[in-house]
Amino acid sequence: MAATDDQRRSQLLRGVLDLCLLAVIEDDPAYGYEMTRRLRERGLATVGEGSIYPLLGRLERDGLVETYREASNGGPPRKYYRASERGRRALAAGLAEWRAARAAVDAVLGETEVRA
Amino acid sequence: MNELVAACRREWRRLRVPAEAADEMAAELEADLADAAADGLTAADVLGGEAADPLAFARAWATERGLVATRPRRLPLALGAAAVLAAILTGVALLAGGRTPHVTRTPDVVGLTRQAAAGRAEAAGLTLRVVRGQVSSPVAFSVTSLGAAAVVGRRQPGRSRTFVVVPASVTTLSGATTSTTTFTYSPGSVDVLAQLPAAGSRVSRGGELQVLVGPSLP
Repeated sequence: MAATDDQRRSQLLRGVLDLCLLAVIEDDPAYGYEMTRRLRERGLATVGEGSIYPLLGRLERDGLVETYREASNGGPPRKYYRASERGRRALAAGLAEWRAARAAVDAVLGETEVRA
Repeated sequence: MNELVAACRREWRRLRVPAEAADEMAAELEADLADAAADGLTAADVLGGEAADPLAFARAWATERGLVATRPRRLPLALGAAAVLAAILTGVALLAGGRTPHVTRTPDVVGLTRQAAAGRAEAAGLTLRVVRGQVSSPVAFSVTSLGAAAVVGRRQPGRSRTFVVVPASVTTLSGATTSTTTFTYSPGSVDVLAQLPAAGSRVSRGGELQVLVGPSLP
């Protein structure tokens, strides 16, 4: 049985969400919800089955992001994430893989015409 | 406090996540959910399907951060070894008479030991291996010694657990590395080998039982 639209979207996202997170903080550090906001602004409204927090935890544990605390808008200090040097290298490598994979899929699906 | 955050906190406490890290995650989540609410979003908008299962979410987050302690795998084996040791102490004392070089004069003793051990080991679903003279790979062993004898357990990659019955003469005189003495088995006394099935029940079937019988066997 074919996956539903939501399942397919979730599966596609799962493989690249770490890259998306690194991408949205590459130049500008952000706290968790701010990252969610940036993803939404770029069209990734939901992350499907999983939130970004466990993934952020893994990125932090693997040294791909660095964290620091900073006050924001008079509220309590927030935990900010920024891409580490290692994270930037991982992002560059992941981008190359993603683009190669996308090109290959496009080569298969791009010429396909479906008569519904 | 947000109910979802409270549920996460309970789960982190149950998982024994360090309090400082739990406080940090709770504060981060609470602040983010407050921001989302200000934007007109719900927890489900932020957490996706995980909002419906905060315990799984909390577990996943802590695990990915490396904050959930893994269980010490060797502990049950050590406890098992200690329990078996307590059960066989009396009998093993018979094996600890070690200083007398009786082996060459009473080879049947060795045969009896091996034969009896083989039968008991088979009943326990173990493979018997008689080790002569010294504990093999002593570095890999964690020795529990209560004076009279020791039961040593270890886990071997790709193999089942191994129990070794070591006479006190070996462990005390040679530091569980090399024995310079022998020991004898005394038929008619307390049958230490009868305790081997108990050891077998604590190791997986198909495991291996080693019986150290002394250095000067032929």
